[in-house]
Amino acid sequence: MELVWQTVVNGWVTSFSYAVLAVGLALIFGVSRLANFAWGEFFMVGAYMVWLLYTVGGWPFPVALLGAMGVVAGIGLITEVSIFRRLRGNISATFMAATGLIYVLQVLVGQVWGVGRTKPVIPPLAGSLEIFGASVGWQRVVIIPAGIAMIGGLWLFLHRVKLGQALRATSQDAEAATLQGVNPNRMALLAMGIASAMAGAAGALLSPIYSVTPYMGTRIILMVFIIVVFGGVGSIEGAFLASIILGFTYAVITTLADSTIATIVSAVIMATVLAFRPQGLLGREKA
Amino acid sequence: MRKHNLSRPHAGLVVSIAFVCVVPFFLREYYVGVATELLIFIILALSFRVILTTGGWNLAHYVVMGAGAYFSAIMVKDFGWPFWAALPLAGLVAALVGLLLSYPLSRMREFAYLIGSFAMGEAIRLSWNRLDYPFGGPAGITDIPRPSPWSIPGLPTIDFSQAIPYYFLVMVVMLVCLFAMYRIDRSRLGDIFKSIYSQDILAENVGINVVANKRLAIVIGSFFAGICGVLFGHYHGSIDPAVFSLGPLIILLAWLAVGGIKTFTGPIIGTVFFVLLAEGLRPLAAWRPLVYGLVLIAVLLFIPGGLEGLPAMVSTWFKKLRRRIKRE
Amino acid sequence: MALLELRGVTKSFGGLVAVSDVDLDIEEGEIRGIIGPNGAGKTTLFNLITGNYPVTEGRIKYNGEDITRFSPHKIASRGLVRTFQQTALFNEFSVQNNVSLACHLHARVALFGVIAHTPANQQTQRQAEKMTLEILELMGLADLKDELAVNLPHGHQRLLGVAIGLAAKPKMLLLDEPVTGMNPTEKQDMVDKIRQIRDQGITIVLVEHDMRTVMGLCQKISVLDFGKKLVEGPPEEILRNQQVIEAYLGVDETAT
Repeated sequence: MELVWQTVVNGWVTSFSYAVLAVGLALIFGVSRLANFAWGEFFMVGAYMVWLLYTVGGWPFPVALLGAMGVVAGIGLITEVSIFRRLRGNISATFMAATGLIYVLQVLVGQVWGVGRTKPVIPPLAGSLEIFGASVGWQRVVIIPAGIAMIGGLWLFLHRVKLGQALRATSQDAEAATLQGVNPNRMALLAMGIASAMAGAAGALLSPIYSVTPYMGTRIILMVFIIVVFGGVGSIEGAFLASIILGFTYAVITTLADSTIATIVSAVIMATVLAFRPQGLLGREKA
Repeated sequence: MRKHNLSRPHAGLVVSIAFVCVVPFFLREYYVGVATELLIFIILALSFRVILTTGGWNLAHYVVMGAGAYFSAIMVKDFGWPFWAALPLAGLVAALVGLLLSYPLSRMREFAYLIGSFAMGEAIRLSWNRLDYPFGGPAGITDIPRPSPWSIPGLPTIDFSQAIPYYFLVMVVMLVCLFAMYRIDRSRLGDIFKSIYSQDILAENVGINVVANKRLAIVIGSFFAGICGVLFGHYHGSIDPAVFSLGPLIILLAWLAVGGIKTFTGPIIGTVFFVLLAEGLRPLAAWRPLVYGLVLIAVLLFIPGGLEGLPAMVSTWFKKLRRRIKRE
Repeated sequence: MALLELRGVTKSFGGLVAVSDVDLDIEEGEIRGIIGPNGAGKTTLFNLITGNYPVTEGRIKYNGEDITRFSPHKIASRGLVRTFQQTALFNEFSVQNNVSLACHLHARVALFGVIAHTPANQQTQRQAEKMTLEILELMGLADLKDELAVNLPHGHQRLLGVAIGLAAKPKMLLLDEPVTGMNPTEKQDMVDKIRQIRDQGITIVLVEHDMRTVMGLCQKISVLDFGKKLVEGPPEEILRNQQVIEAYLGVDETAT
């Protein structure tokens, strides 16, 4: 019985861990048609910032978290202005540029701070959540309220704030939004800033749990990609829904078997569904 | 209709082939190995281009190459098949893997295609990592034998475990593959593929089955990728899942992005450029991937269309310069 | 039995109804015009007929066969072909290649034949080449056959668009604004060619804004407004119809 509760909590933890990354990626693609293949590296930089500020610098964890969000948002904004803006519209070129960015970020981080051992980040939250006999570390559980706060905050922004509504309109139909006077460059910056901050936060919150290496991004990003495609590209709601469905699938299969099989099964589910429904769960039907 | 001048080969082509035949005798053994790998990579780059001409960066392509490599390694090493049987069959196996992937892929667009193909390729690669039998798990498969020596009466025995004989083996296979891919590219089928890239909706409306043709392009490209896998695996003597992972995939993409994909020679230029760059940058060791990333981004920003378009870009620039000078 | 039959065809995009409950019958050998103000749903209707958009409700029958759920290339293979207003040409290809590509439908391609350049393959290519040149002659583009499509002047691009449609060997040709952007001479030329095409046994349906062209060319005209079919009839009736005049009020000056 405890196993069931364990899996339920783990399911939500996994879902929200992925959701924070997936929703941001879906937003960026919807708004500026950028397939940010370096998303895992953005996540990784967030984790490194926490190691730098919290473990090495001794700053309080919340400060390190904000620092991570700021730095990664900064990287997002810089790359958006210097690279992606100039290639806007060309999906292959922006994708290729993001791919080049993977190496740039991995090597920079690896060479500056060393590739050898993983960077230790002692969990700031000790102890575990005890629920119906199941026990899950607080450090893992905290991603749930954090995820709710970030995604909830994003939802409110997109639906209740005028600037956010413009952003939402752009993500659903960028051409129509531009015709209505929305500035595409501003929207792209905004989307990238918000999404990158979320990615940085994810890296920060998960740094005590995952081993911090320059290559940690490539391990987690695969599931995020599967989720975004499964949910329907460009659809933020789809990304969230897919995070829950595949997050739970992943957690359950990892408990029963292992994480590799969980990833493979998720990929197979995605491929099968997309063979019959190319637009994914909630994606736009290609007119 | 384009004329197919098979009877008047391009002078440059003859020179290139002659060069490729002669060059290994002037190189140290290490560089013969580099050249062998370069030839394999050229086939790979062109096989990727086949799929690209219908408009899709199939990120599972390197894994498909791996499928060919694993198939041949297992069949030759564990089941004692002759290399020459395994080679074409591995191509077919890779084509089959490509076919399976093409069912979801050929109906996806843009982002979904990119990320979806990557995810599916990774899933396959992870299963190699996971299964010790028959794939050898993370350690992969080692001691993959070279083809057995050829004893032709009257000639010295050709021992393929030596660098130069294997180089020539790869070269001959490469020329056959390139010939086939070139013929496809210049044919009606190649035109159909390019029409899909140009205007897929218009193509569909004049009776071209876009989905089926995209699938066909994936199958053809995958076949040749499988061949590369075999040549590669037997050259190095060992393969493991990391060989076909994201890192090498990025480099494959870079060859094409930098060289250009509009012409048949674009990918060749890109591949040669990058392999030479890699050799030249060896002293930089761990910083090398950074340079690759920066070169890639720089080319995308400043030489859009890749190196193949460089002569045209340069001549346009010169013309503009001359006009400016004339005015002053 | 009509060659093309539409019954209750409706298309909605989310909340927006682009085409509403349209019935249409096109007889073989007709030249039918479909007119209506901008946004009336004319091009959407074409997209529905040729399978580019899925139908929300309704049935489409061509030559007795229900083609409602068919994909565009399957519909084209049945002989129902359309041209496009924009994205009408394979820009990077030459004029000749544009047309010969569309001959694909009736030129079988075998992979081995392609690589080895077999006699069968060569024969197929010769036939496609012959048909291409005939079509180019008909459309008056033979002299320009090696020009890149994107370099052609506008009028010739429209002619090429029609040529591409012809190469697919249609029994019925749907022309989407074939004379838009042409000068009067070019328009008259296109009108003559359309008549020639019809005389070769191809039924024509065209969507057009240019009233004079439509009135002069078409025997029967269907008028759409806000996605619904308003009226249908010969040109003289349509010109005088009150509803039609209101729908167009202040929009089109050539309809006097």
